[in-house]
Amino acid sequence: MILSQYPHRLSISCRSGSLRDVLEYHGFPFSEAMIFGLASALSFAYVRPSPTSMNTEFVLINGSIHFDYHEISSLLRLHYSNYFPRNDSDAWEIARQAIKDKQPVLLSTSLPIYLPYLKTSQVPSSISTPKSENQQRFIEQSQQIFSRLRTPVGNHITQLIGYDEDKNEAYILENNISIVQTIPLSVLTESRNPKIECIKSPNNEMMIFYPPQKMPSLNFAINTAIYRMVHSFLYSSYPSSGWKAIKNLKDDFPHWPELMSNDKLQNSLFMMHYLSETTGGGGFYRKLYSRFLFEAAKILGDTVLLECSTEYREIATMWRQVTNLCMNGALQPEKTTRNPELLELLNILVIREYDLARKLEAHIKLGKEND
Amino acid sequence: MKIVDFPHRLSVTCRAGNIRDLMEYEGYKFTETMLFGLSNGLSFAYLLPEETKETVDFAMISGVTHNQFEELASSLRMHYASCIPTDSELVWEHIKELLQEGKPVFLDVVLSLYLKYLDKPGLPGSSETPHTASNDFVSTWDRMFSQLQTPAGTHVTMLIGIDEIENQAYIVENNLSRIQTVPLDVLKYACNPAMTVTNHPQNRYGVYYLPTKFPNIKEATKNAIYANMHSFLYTSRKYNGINAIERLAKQMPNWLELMPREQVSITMGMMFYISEKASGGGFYRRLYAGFLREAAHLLGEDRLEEISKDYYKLSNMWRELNKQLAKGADFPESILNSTDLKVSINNIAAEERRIAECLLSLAETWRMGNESFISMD
Repeated sequence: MILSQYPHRLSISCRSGSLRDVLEYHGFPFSEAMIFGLASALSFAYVRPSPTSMNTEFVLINGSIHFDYHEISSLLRLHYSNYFPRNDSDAWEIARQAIKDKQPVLLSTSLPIYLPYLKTSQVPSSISTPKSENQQRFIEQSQQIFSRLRTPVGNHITQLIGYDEDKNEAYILENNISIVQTIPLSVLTESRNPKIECIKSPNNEMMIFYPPQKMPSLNFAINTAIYRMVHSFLYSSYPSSGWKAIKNLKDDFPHWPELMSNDKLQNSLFMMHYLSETTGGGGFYRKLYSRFLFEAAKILGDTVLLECSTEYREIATMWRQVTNLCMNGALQPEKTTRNPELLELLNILVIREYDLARKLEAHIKLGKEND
Repeated sequence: MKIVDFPHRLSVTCRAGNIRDLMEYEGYKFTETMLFGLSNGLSFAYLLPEETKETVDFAMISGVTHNQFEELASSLRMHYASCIPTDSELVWEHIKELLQEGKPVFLDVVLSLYLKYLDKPGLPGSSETPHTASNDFVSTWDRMFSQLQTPAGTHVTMLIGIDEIENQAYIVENNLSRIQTVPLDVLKYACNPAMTVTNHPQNRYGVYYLPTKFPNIKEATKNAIYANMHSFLYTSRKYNGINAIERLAKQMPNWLELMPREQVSITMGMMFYISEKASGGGFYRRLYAGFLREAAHLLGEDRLEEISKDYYKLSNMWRELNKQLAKGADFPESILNSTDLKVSINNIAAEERRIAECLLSLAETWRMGNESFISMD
C-alpha cells in the first residue's frame, strides 16, 4: 500500500520540507521557504559546552529552535496530532492505520540507522522530482559526519507514505533525495525507537496533519509570523536561544579549547558546517529565511521586506564564511578558534543580526507598543 | 526544596488555572479566563469509544482543544519546553534541576491515583488562598472515577517542590486552595503508572519560559479569537469543532445502537462531570463568555459583550442538557428517545454555529486582509 500521486520535492530542511509535501498533498501548495517563515522557525541555538551537560559529543549550534510544528499549526489552523506511542507495536499500528486512511505520517527517526539503505535510483515505485543534483553528496556528507560520532543523533523527520508488510518494506520520503526510498520495515522500526543510546531519542514520535477546509488569510499570517519570529529572537528567556545565543557564541568561541576536549572541539567545528550548510540550507537557515522574505515582499508589495531579504542573504553568506573556516580548520582547532578573520566575522554577525531583527520589529508592528 | 510564597488561587481548569498561578509567580497578572481565551482553548471533541486509539469506557466528549499549552505559548511568545522522556530516573533528576532554578513544573498525571491523599488538613507547608476550596471536590471526583474501569490520565498538576528524605511532593491543585502535600513515590507513579490508562501521561512534563517583554495583548486577543473560531468552524476533522457537535446532535438519540448500554450510561454521567465539574459549566462555554467580556472591555468592542452573553446562554443550554442526561443515566432508553432531548441538542448545535459565525465575522473585520488562500508555488 502506497499513497499514490504523492507530491514530493527536494527541500532544505526535513521539517519544513516534509510539511510542504503534506500540505501540497492536501491541496495547499506552499513553497518550503514560506512554510519555514510561517513557522517563525528562524532563531539561533547555542548550547554552551559544559562538562556535566548531556551526552553530546559536540557543541550544539543551530539556526532554528522553534520548528516543532506548533507555531505553524497555530498560525494556519492545522489540526496536528502528535503521538508518542508506548511501544513499537502501537507505534506501527497507528502509522499503518494512518496510511490506510490515506494520511502521510511524519516520523521522528535516527537517520544514521537507515542511512546505508538509502539509494538514489532504481527503487520500485519511485517518483522523481525535477531536481536531482547533490543527492549522493548529501548521503556521503551525512555518512562522513555520523562516522565521527559514537552516539547517533535522533532528531530527523522522514515521511512514511506506504508499506508492504509481506515484503518487510517501508516507503519513505527523504527531503534530500528526490525519489521514494524503500527500506526494511524492521530497520525503520529500529530507527524510530533505537535500543541503543541516542542523542535526542525519537521515542516513536509521529505526527499527522489535518489542514482546515479553508486556510486563514495569508497576508495576515505572514505579518504575524515575522512579528513572532523577531519577538522570540530578541526577547525569549529560553536559555541558549535567540540573539543572545549568537552573542554568547562570539564571546565563548576563542575559549573553546579551554572548555572542551580536543575531540569534542573538532566534532563541533565539523558539525557547525554540517548544520549550517548541509542541513541548514546555507548560513544556518538565513538563506531560506531570505527567500521567505522575498516571497512575502512580493505578496504584500512591501519594499522594506525586500531590503531585509537582501540583508539576510548577506548574513547567510557571512555565516557560510564562518562555517567554512571552521570546517577547513577543524583539525587545527586551537588555531582556528583564534583565527582573527573568523572572530571578526562573528563580531560583525552579532551586530548585523541584532540590527536586522530590530529593523523588522520596527517595520512589522502589531498594534501599539504599550497596549 | 520548595518554591516559597507561591501564589495560588482556585480555578476552573487545571491547565489555564495553573498557568495563571505560574504567571503571577513570574510577576504577571492575568485572569484564568483571559489565559483560556488566549490559548484558543474553546472547541469540542466527540469520539465514540471505537473511534479512538485510547482504551476508554465511554464516548470521549470535551469542550476544549488538546494543545492549550502550545497555543498559549505561541500567542504570548513564551517558550513551552515539554518532554516525554525515555528514562524515568533521568526525568526526576531534570525536574529537580528545574525546581532548583525556581521553575514550577507542569506534570501530566492520573489524578485518581493520588486523590485520596488530597485535601488533608494540617499538612506542613500549606498556604491558604483568598477563596474557599470547593469542599466536595475530592468526594465528587472519587465518585466519578469509581465508575470507570480504565483510569483517566488527562489531568495536569503543578509541582512546586519535593523533599526526597521525607518522601513528599508539594503540588498545586486547581480545585483545592491549599498547597497539597502528597507522597513523592505516589506522585511519581501517577506520572507513569504501569497500567492501561486513557491518555497515558507517560511522564510528560513541561516548563514555561516567559519572554523578557510580552507582545501586544490587544493584538494577541484579536488573533486568538480569530484563530479559535476559524478552527472551530473550518476544521476538516469530524471529531472536532462544530462538526463534532453536529455529529453528536445526530448520533445521540441512537447511542444505544452505537455503544453497549453500559457505555451509554457512563457517557451520560461523564458528560455531566466533564461539563459541570471540570470545565466550569457548559463545556467551557461559561469560561469563554468570561474571556469575551474581558476582551470587550480591553478592546472597547461592544459587540463582544453581546456575544459573551450568547456564550453564557449557550453554557446554560449545555448545563440543562447535561443535567437531564445525568439524571437519566441509569435508564438511557427513555431519555435518549425523548423529543425534548432531540430538540435541546439540535438547538445547541444551531446556536453553536450561529454564535461562532458571528464572532468569526467580527474578528475578520479586525484583520488586515481577509482574502482567501493564495497558492504559493
